[in-house]
Amino acid sequence: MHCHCRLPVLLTALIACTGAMAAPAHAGAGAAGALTIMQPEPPRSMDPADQMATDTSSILSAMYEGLVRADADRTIHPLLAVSWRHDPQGTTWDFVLRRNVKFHDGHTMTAAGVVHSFRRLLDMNAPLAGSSRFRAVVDTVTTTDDDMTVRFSLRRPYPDFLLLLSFSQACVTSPYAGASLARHADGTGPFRFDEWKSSEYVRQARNPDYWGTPPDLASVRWIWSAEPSVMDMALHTGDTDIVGDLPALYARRMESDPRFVIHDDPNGPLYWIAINMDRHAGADRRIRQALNYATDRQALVHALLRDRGQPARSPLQPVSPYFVSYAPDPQYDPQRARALLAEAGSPSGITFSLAVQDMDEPLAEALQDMWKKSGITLQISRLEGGVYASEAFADPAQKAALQLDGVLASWSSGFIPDMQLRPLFHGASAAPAGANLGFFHDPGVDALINAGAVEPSEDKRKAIYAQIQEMIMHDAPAVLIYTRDTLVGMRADISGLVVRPDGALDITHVTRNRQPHP
Amino acid sequence: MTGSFRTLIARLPLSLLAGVVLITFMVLGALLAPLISPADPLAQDLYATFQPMSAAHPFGTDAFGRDIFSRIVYGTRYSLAEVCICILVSCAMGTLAGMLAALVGGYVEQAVMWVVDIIFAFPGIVLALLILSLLGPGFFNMLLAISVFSIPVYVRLAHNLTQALQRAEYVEAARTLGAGTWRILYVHVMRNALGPILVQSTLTAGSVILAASSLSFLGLGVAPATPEWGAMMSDGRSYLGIDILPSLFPGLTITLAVLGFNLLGEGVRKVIDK
Repeated sequence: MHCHCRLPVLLTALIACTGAMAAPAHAGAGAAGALTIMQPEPPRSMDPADQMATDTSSILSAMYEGLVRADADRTIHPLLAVSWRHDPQGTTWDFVLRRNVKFHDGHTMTAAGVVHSFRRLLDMNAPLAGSSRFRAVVDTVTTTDDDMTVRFSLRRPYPDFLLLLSFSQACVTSPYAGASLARHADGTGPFRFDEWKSSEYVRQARNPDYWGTPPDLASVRWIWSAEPSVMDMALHTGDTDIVGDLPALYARRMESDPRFVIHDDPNGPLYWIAINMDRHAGADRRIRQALNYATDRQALVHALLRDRGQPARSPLQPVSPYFVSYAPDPQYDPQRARALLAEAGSPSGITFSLAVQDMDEPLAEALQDMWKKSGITLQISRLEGGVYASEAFADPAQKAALQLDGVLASWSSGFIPDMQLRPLFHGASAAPAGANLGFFHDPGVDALINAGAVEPSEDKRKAIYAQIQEMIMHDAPAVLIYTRDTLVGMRADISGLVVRPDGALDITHVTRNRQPHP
Repeated sequence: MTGSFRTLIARLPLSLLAGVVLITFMVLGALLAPLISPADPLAQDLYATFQPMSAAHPFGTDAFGRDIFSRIVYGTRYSLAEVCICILVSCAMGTLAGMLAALVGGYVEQAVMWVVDIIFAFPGIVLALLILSLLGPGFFNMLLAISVFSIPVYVRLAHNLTQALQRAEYVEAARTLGAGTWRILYVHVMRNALGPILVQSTLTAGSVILAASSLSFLGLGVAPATPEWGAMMSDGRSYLGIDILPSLFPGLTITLAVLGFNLLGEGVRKVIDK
């Protein structure tokens, strides 16, 4: 009767054994020009507009293209649009489309097709997962007299509009695809959809009718596993050539191995604890500051990220051109934390209850022991993904009922400061509407966020965003912890991989040295 | 005196001795944890993670720089608590239900045995998962879940023993003399059934530890950071490719503890059967 109990224990032992045996890697995967990529998550859809996940974007960006393309350093290049211009206010944008581009279904791309694709994204009646940030900016998309020009009318000037257009949600889909798009991709990209076997793989083949330089690879296979040890093992055994989002601990061991290279992209997600402003701990600024002083970010970056990341010193990522640090020096000061708690009337310390997602639990566990030194007792509720999402985005009344003092979350905005500060700190983004999970509300910050979003002058925007960062660092509505580098582990013979600003992998120009280009 | 003690030891089965030694170690570990362990099981050192085995850290350190040996020593407290509470609850409830069912008979007996059969039909760990998903994770909920799925064995055992004992002449005699159900249960049945039930409880101790470790491994047991063996194995799982020690030693300890209880049960059975 009890033999079932043994299964998990046995399984671990088994994994441990195979791990030990896998050390000598064999020759590598696949036939000529084939590439396998492993990511943590399976794809959510084959429809670029109906997803917000980085891993899904990676898969789709091999099959779809947007009007423009962004490089890792966020420079914009033409893709399906060859040129563009906008009016002096920056609210009307015209894009001239590339000629002789064919969708995978054989139809030629026209302005009408592109308009159809964007209208689908902006459709209020059938809202898609990726549409909200575009709806907030774009009012209408229309054709013009010229049959190869598409016109965007924006609700307000948006300085980062081109960067927004480079995101995978804005990819152009075929107007003839219809409802099958969720399972069957149909775009213009260098690879065409071959097969999606749920829970196993997505396979893509080179597009022979591609308008641009044909890719070097003949076929690409995407597989997934959330287990770090499986990722590591698959790379060693040759079951995969690239691992997207490799855990830092494994990267450290791999960097000394000549068979592998690690691609380190500093534009990773920011991890922070949104403090619930409606509860005791959040209502008093001194307690919020104490939580910040109790956090040894350097130690967390060292232990959990193996120094592949940055301690958070601003609500913006250090890679952002608007990043300015107003962090106190030193940032970690347990004495100061205790003093602030005593000032706030809690000399014997406080108890703080925190909701975390399964995979972020180690961070909370590290904080638990760290905060104890400042007299803060951290109660962790470790939640499975779906439950976590419902608790994190709960409204003030629900959070009061759950007795939640904070939520540990991560956010990646791809260089656009408005996409970082507005969802996380604008009063109108308070949960459940947005990701302002602690209900922070400061009319001054709200006004500055609104001003920064439409300010065309780069210098003035810098000043505005600096001021916002200073106000947020002073008011401490969150414990900003660290930004984690996105690490991609790959076999040493692979080159040409690009990590785009939205975190998606771009494999268009990946080459393998073992099969030199003819 | 010593001579007779020696002969007594020599006559005891080897499995009993081995089991007693292992369980004694465990009990000592639980009682003397603060004296034995070199470090606080919860104290982290984020700059000394994944240390190899050394004099300071006999079993190395885990992903948070905590001393694995100290955590295992403190973990015996959780494991022993699991064993004691689960066996006490399931044994007391199961035995009582089984004996009463057999003594009272009729519809009561049928109802009790049907319920037991239903629980029996469920794989234990699945039933525990079901209970935990209803009650939510936590140490005491986990113990409750394990207790519930351990009950049927005792009900069946007690029921069968009581039925056999009921036909014994001395029970018939007591009944004829006017003894009530409770008196028969206490004086005649319980004392005679004690041996087999004791054997059964030592034998289930091992499976209780395994079930608790499995549930903690799945994240349904103890709170994060608690030095529970199953949870420690689970935490170490993400780092298997980097350092095997955080999972290896809790796993070995679980093996030894389960072995200890199984040997003890086997030994007790041999002694009683003799």
